[in-house]
Amino acid sequence: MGNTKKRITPGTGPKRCLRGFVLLLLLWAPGVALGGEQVVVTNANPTQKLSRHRLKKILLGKAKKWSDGNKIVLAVLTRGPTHDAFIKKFARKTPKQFTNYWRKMVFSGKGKMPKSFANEKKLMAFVAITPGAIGYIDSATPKRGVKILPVK
Amino acid sequence: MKQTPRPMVPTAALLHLALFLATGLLSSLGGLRSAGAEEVAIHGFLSQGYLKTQGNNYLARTKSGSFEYAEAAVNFSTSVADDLSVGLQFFTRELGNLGNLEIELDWAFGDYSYRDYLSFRVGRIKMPYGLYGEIQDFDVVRSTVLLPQSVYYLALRDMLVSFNGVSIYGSLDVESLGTLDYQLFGGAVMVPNAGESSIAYYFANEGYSAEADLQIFELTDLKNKYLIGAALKWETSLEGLVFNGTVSQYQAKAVGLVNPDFTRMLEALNRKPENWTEHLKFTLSDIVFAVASAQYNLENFTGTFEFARYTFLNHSNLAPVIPHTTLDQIRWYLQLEYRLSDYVQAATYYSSIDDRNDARKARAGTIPAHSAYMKDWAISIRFDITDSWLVKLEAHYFDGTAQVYTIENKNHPDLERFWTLLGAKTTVTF
Repeated sequence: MGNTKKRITPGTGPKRCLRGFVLLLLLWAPGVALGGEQVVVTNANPTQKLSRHRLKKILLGKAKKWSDGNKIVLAVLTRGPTHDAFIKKFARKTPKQFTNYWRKMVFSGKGKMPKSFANEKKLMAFVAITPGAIGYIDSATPKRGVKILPVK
Repeated sequence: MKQTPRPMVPTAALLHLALFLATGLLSSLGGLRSAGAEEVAIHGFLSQGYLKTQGNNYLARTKSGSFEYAEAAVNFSTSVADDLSVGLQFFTRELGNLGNLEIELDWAFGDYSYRDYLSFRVGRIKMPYGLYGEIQDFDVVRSTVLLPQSVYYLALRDMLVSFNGVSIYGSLDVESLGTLDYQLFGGAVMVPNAGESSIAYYFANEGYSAEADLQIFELTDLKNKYLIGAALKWETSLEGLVFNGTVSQYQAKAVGLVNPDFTRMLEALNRKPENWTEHLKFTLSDIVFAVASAQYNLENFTGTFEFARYTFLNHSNLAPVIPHTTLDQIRWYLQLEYRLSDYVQAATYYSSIDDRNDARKARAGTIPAHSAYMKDWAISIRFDITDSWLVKLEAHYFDGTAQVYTIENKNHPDLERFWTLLGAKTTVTF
């Protein structure tokens, strides 16, 4: 490495710190979805990662069981920027299309409305105690009783 | 066609409901509780529409404006085990002479989920038909007041909405091609109050003579011997592009009564056959409803094309006086939908019906040319006032009368070739 010291010019310090912080955040928080949403499941769920295709099937009620045989129980937020961004990104639907899709499922008898929650705290509390449950939170939200499932 | 009202809730529906509630009650008492037992989910909707036409009555007495266009439903569903769920839905509607707000069992079945690629349903099941057949009654999940009537003709709903039987279904991932959702089904269509059904009304129109202003015959019962069908949806690897195909085949028998006035007319003309009877029997064979669909979805835009072919052979025991008939129709539409905001969505479609048999009659000069086809240009706007309340407004311009009933237009049986329809609908969902 040598003993050469690099001169830090004024103004570069804070920028470097910010870049470093962002890099640290990305490395420290595995499975952070682009845009900051994270998939959460119960700690007991043996699944280690999820493909985007499989996640979309879960969001649309077409995937019914985990590999351990547990029923998949979908938990969604009622509204908000985290919900909007997550549904657009992974279900490939707008929030209105997503709601209409599930109404079609309900009124044709092909499915039941996902469990919905007004905020991430309540959603996490449900996922933490419900076998097979899956939901999503913002990456900035401290996780409690759940584990993050990386989406590849 | 309005006859003596039958019991508001059919006995079979009461039995289904009793079994369902017993299951739920036992589950809640812990008798059948398992890791998958859940509370009962309840959903429903109320929908009221208004139709006004200029030129011809259509679906109801619409030339004077009609509120006889309403639907309502309530459903109950729960999981009794991780793999097994049950549910049922009651539905009622009024559309002109049809429905009469009598409650019917729309669907009621048990669903066993073995794997994503293999699941089973047994009971009364919604009929796979095109992209929207299973949800054609539910105003909240479509952008227009009327679905394109070429493929989703409200008057034929009773044959296309649900059946008693078994369905095998699943979802298969095909690498690089996307996802295939399949369904194989079989059973029989149980038409509620068959003598007042949309099928009976269709034949009532067929059995009406405008020249004599005489209802020659009416159906009193319809029995579907069997139904088999298949559906396949391909969600391609190109995001938003979907192809769908459904086909169903039926065999059915219908019975009816010939109007004694018609018999007297035959006698007066010395044309009554020796073996004449006023008990009419139709044997409907090779009834096929096939639909091919393509849809492309972007974030706020949806483009849909659907093509349908309807065919059947009808053998009459009173031919040639009441003749054998065939049906051979080509039906299609193209629809564009665009969501302008979270609260407003616009749609437009062009819909087309061509009846090949009537086209031959038109060329022979026995019926007006416009009776053999119907083209429909529609524009619609939907307002989502809240998450659970919407209002829709719609306008149609028609060329042709293939689907307009003479029985609803006795004052001008030749019908108006060019006519219009204005529609409005409001729906509350819970």
